This record gives sequence, C-alpha cells and structure tokens, in this order.
Amino acid sequence: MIETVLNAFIPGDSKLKMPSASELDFNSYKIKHGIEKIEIDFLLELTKISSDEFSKKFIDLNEDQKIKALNLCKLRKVRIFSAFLKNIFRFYYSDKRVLSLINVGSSPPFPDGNKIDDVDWTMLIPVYERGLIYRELDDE
Amino acid sequence: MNDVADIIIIGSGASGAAAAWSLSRDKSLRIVCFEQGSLSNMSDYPTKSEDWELSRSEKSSFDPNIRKNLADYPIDDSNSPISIANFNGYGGSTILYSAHFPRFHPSDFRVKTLDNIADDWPLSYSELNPFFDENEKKMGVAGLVGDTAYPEYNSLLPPVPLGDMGQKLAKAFNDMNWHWWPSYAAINTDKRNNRANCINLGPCNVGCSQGAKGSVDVTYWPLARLNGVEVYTESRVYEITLDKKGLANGVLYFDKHGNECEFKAKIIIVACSGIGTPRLLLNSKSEAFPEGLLNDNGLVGKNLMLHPLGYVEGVFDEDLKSSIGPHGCCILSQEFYETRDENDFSRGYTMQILRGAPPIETATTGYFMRQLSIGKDHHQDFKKLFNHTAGIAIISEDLPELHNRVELDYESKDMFGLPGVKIHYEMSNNTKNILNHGIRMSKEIFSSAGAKVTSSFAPVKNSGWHLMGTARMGSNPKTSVVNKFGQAHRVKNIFIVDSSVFVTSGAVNPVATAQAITLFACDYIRENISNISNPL
Repeated sequence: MIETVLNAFIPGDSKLKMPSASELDFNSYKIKHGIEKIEIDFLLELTKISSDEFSKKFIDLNEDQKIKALNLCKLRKVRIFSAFLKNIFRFYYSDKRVLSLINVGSSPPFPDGNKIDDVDWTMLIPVYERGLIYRELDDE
Repeated sequence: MNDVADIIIIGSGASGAAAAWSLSRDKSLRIVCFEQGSLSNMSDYPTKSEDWELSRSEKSSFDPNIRKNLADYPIDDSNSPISIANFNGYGGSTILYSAHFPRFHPSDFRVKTLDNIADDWPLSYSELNPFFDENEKKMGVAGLVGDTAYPEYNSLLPPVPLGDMGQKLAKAFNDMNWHWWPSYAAINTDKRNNRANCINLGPCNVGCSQGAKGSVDVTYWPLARLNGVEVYTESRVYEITLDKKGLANGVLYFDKHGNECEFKAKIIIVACSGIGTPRLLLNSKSEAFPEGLLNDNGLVGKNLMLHPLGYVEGVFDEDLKSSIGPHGCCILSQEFYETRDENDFSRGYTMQILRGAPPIETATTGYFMRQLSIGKDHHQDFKKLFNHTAGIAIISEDLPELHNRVELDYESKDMFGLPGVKIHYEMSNNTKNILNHGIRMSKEIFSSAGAKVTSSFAPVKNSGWHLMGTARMGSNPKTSVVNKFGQAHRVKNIFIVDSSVFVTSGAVNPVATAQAITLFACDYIRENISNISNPL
C-alpha cells in the first residue's frame, strides 16, 4: 500500500522528468529517521477513510478518489496527516536524484560551490544621493 | 592542576569568545572558560551531505526543545508567542546564526532623549565605535562602506553577492525611493585569516562546513587559545560563589563526568546569553542575595526583549535562482528604522531580504500556504515556487517591559537536576503596530518588484534568537544590574558581557553590538585589574 500512497502524493512527471516518490527508497529513509509509527498511524487512518467514504481499499481508488481521501485525512486528522506529509517532502526533496533535477545548484559535498555574478553597484547611486537617513546626535 | 584562575569566563559564545581574546592579550593571566556544550567539528556539519536540510528539524535545530542535546536545558516558552532559539556549544549560537552583523545606530543608545520612551544607555555609539571596528576585523564582516543609514564604516570585506533576486528587489526599493544596502554579514567573501571564502552554499544556519561564516569557533577562539586560554567544554557552571567580603571567589560546576567541582577565580565574566545569564544568576542564591545573585533590585531576568519578527513572502514569475547564496544575508532596508511623526509607533524596524527557501521548506510551506498541491500537479507547482521566492523579515524594535521575563522553572530540570527556565513574554501595542506597518511596506515592495505575495504574518513563532535586556546596564543601581562596563553594581569583580545588558533592543541583530560592548568592557577590566580582582 505504501507505494500507492507515495505515488498518490508525488506521482512522476514525464514532461519534467521527475520520478514519483514510489520510485525512490522510502524504506531506508523510514528506518533511518524512525518514522514507522507516523507511517502506521497515517496508513490506518487512510484505510479507515477509504473504507468509510468509498467502501474500497485505498489501492483500489481511482486517482481523484485517492486525492479526496488524502484531503479528508487532512481535514479529520490534521496532525497525523501533517506529520506524514512533512516526511514525504523531506524524503523526496533530500534524494540525490531529485536534487539533481530541480536546479538546486551545487550539491553537497559542494566541490565548487555556486557562482553568483557580480553586481553593478551604481544601483546604489539613488540611495546615496538621498543623503544620510540616520539621526545624528548633538553629543556625538 | 591548581583550580584557581585570574579570570573565569562562563560561556564560549559570541561575547565569551571576544572576552577571551581581548583579555588573553595579557599573557600573564590565567583565563579559563567554561562551556556547557561540546566542541563543534566543521567536518561533521550536515552541509556535507545531500540531506542537510533534514538536520534543521533534528540535531541542528535551533529549538533546544527539539534538539535536546545533553547541553540543552528545558525552556518553557508556552507563555510566549515567540519560541526561544539558541545553541549551547563551543561557539554558542554563532554556530547556527545567519551571520547578520549590522551595528546599532547612534539613536539606539539615546531612546529616552530622542523619543521619550524606555531609557538611554549609559554609553554611546561614539564610545563603542573603535570596538565595532576592532570586532569587525576579527570576525570578518562583509558589506559596503558609505551606507546612508549609518555613520561611516572604516572598511569591510566585499559584500555578499545579491543574485538576480536581490537585484530585482534592490531595483524595487529604488523605484520606491526607499533605502536599501547590501547586508552586513560575518561571512568571508575573500580568503582571510586562514579561513576559506564563501562559495555560496546557502545553508549558513546549520553550521558552515566551509568555515567561511564568522562563527566564533573559527574567529576569536583560535586566537584566544593560542594565547593560552583554557576551555572546559561539557562543564556546566551552576553557581557563582561569594566570599565573606561579598566578592565573587569562584564557580561551582558539573564536569563532563557529572562530578560537582569548584574552581576559584579573582574575576568572573558571565556570557551565557539573555536566557542563560539570568538562569545562572537566579540559581546562585546566597545570604547576601537570597533572590539570586545581583537580584537585590529584582531586575535579573526582567525586561526580556526578543525582537518580534514579521515575515512576508513573495513569488516571482521568473526563476531567479533565489535559493542560491547565503540564506539570511542579501540586502536590508532601514527606510523605517528611525521614529517618524506620522507613524502610530515609536522607533522602527529593519527589513531584511531573505533568499528563497531550500527544496524541503519550499514544498512544505508551499503546501500549507496553498501554493503547491499533492497529486498530478505537484511538480508543476513546485517548479513555479522553487528559486522563484524571496522573503522579507521585519525586525521590530522591542522595548523593555518588566513583565516580560525569564524565571527559573523548578518543575522542568536539566540532566543535573538544575531548574530550567520559563519565559513570560507578550508583545506591546507599539511592537504590533511596527509589525503591521512593516508587513504593509513589504507588500508594497513586492508589488513594485512584480512579485505576488503568498504569505504574511507576525510574529514568527520560531524566531527568538535575540535574547536581550535581562541584566540591564545603567548608572543607577536601583534600576540596573551592571554599569556601562558590564560590572555588577553590587559585586565589583563580576562582569556581564552578553546581550543581557542591553538597555533597549534596537532593530538589528544584536551580536555586533554585544561583542563591541564586550571588547569595551574588557579594556576596562585590563586597565583596572588590580583594583577589581578578588585577592583570594
């Protein structure tokens, strides 16, 4: 079920060449960060909502129903939903493959860093021409 | 080893490190620093791995109640709209700070005279000016001289690069005819003092693995240790002791093995932050000070100022690579820093332009701010946000009020059974009006820049970095804890040199001013050491 859930949250996008969350190694992330309980609480709630609202298992819902089920979970159990969602984003957007695809700049261990072009400081002429804006004190 | 020092410094953060270096120039002195946290190692900083962003909610969190290192003590801030942020370790909160390094302004020291509120400081900008200069050289501060919001600086390292986003907003400030200037940042923009230059990695506030950020473990401390200063890490001072003459004569502390120990000293310097300093003083009870050391006038822990922060985020249509560069430092505006007759508040604020959020933060806040969906449109939404955003942080001047305070919390204790602290804090109407104004002006800037505002709120909950006022300085012992040199009115060989001594808060990050005050105080100590010291 977890693969279906991951895919519902973050499906792949062939146009942008982005992988779905289910293509990445969620299991390692889960173990490393000790979120088993967060996952179980969420899946139990999602299973209950799917059953109560659609009389189906979550994996048998169509795409629209899956999103509706997720949103219902957010409405009814916001803490459980938020805790799980944050971990989905943390898992997905710390993945090396994903980071390489989203123009994140140089990735750790940062061999070269990021170049930022120099600025034309004549941009500050209007500020300078207005004169001093701090309060000068008589005794200073 | 004989456990007697000429000077004990408690706390190895921004002020403790500056004090250590300043005093260690007299190499005849035995100086010992006690630090409750452990050493930091640049090679262990999370910025060396792809998942560095995860550490912000784990071991590199600025929230001690999340981080829960052994060095951290409980802080109950449930009675405050602003959570306390800090880092307890060698280098103190500079390990995690964003390295903003603006000075206070001349008017910040004359609030009563100019605006008839709060109190004047017992010292002035011009008295501190040489110490600002010295400190900036030691810390390595980038910026640009000629700022019209300040008296002239002598020299600075080249400014941090603005990037496309910074330039876009700078143009908007010009269009509004408002002040802006590149940020003052303790960041090595050139190789200097055996430290590498910044290469725009971004996540300054989880520790700089490049060593370019001026945290005091790489600026003051190597110099102080070369001069012979001893540092006892993982050693928590829990009491400053007094002799029968009423002079301080040492400290009691828990060493790294949990043993209760004593260390004698002729002078004690306290530099534990606006929270840690009152905690230690209030915990140091004696016959002379039954309500806590130096607290005979009841002011220790009072007048807590936190710089409530407002935040406005804008999204641009174009990809501005906004997440690249030092996260906190880009440009600032002090257009509304000084008091104006037309405003419904006294004093003012700084607007700090923050770079775009990194990926995880973009996705998470984007979702909860309804800018980004889950499901089939997720990637398109993310693409429109990531590297397209900028933030404006509004740092408001916070005025001292007695009811805003730090107290000992005997119900929550640290690993040694010492009381934690409880924070009581509420924002004044003046502060609320400042923040409302700042949010309106920030929205105008984003509008002028062509960005869509996606969120705006105040106060920002997790922003209590600037801990000031809880052992204030002044000329009158009835209304202050220490004098202009940080010297306790009641015990002449105790000095407080952190931002606890601030009389007012200004509306800029406090570290540059706290360190300048420290250097000022240490010159006084060196010049008067024979008169100040307890002969033991």
